Amino acid sequence: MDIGGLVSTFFNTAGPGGVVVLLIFGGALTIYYFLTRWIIAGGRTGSPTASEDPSTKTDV
Amino acid sequence: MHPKNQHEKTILAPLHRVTTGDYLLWGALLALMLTGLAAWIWQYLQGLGITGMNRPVYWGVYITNFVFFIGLAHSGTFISAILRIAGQSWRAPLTRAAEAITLFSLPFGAGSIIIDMGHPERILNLILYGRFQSPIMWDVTAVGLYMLSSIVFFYLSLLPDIALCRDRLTNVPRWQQRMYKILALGWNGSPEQFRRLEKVLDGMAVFMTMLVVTVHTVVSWLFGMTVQPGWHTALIGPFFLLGAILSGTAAVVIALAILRKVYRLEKVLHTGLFNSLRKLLITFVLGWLYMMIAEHLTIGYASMTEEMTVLNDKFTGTYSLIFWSMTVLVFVVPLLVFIFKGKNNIGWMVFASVLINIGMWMERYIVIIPSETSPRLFHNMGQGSYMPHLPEVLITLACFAGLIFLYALFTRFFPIVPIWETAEALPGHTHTNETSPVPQPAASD
Repeated sequence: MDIGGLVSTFFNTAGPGGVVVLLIFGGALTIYYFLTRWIIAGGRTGSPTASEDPSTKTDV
Repeated sequence: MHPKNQHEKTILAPLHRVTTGDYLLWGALLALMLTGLAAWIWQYLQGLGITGMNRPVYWGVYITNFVFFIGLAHSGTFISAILRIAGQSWRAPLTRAAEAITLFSLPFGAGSIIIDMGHPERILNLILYGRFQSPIMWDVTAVGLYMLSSIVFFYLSLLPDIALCRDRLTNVPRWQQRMYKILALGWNGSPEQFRRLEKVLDGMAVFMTMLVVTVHTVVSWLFGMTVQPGWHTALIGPFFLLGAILSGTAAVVIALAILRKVYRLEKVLHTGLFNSLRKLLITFVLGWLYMMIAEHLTIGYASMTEEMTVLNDKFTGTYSLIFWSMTVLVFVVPLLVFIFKGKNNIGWMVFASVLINIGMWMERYIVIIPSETSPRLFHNMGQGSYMPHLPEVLITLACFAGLIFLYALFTRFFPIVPIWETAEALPGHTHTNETSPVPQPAASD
């Protein structure tokens, strides 16, 4: 397999660049989405929510 | 469960009502933005021929704006990510104000490229026919990823405070309460959520630091990868990066001083923070001078014909006034102010920071235009000249107005000082956050 040829084709052909950009953005979006979900899921460990806790409900 | 912060009321105070002054400011900025939009539509219909750009000056004020806005955007990442990794806890009250500059200047940086294309739909060609050989593809990838990551980094660090607004601000309009409820994503402030949030932010800070270096280096490579005189130098990457961090940090000083005054945040954004930024700025100004000397001495010493044409244009020719003014504005006056007047004096700090940003815009201009007016292929392209035309001026003003508008709007609906990061203690944490250094007495505000 001609790895050099493959790399050269990747850099010199119109099209693959756009695919790479989309893959990078898509990958980042997916990772960030799951990270955010993971953080929020940390609240399901049994602690009272702010709206359930009357002491936190104050208007300043 | 929310973190306890003695300054909570002070920080939340601006969020309670929108004043007449706000409406006037927003109206004026919107008018400027609409004028810019009209100019852009005019340019779209008539073509780029109505701008000052011509052959061989293909990049003008729009690309200057692009580099400048991307540079400003480095403020947030520097203050939030780099200083976070370095364990500089004093930075906590500044983080959101700095990150907001990043978030709101990036769209105008990226947008300037689209404006420069003449027809915005041409951006699709990058996706359809993009080849990774081109630095423009590197730029789109780096800037796009930086923008996305900045939004996520900003939003995640805002999350606990949005939830706090949801629970505390019960007398604001219903749409505002609804907005907080939706954006809070059901955050309940449990110790586990805080633990996970800190973990993710720490990890992202490392990634963002790498990204910030990549982004401005890649921006500089748009120029550096060509063989144009004045651009084709390995120094251009670090030179651009240092300039970006300098202008970004100076922009943070300006934003903080205005917020402090308008929203009466003197106790939270105390003079000690400005003194810390002053020390950083002295370092950056000196670093910038070092890069300037290294860049120009190397070129001048070699005395290559094409390079000398551009260098002479800057030093003694057509662009000498801009070049030397820029040097005075970025280096001479700010350094003197920071050393002799800036300590404990916010007014002088703001003065020097404004000069730095005016000078840095001029620096971007002086990097771009002289190389284009005297191109390497002079015999084919001829001597060029460039003067921005009305559409470019109006669109530039609109971009600055847009940045200020978004920033002003944000500060009226979200806490501009992170409440949870400056809290005395976080839920479930045994340690006490030492995020707010002891205020130093201000000689004058």
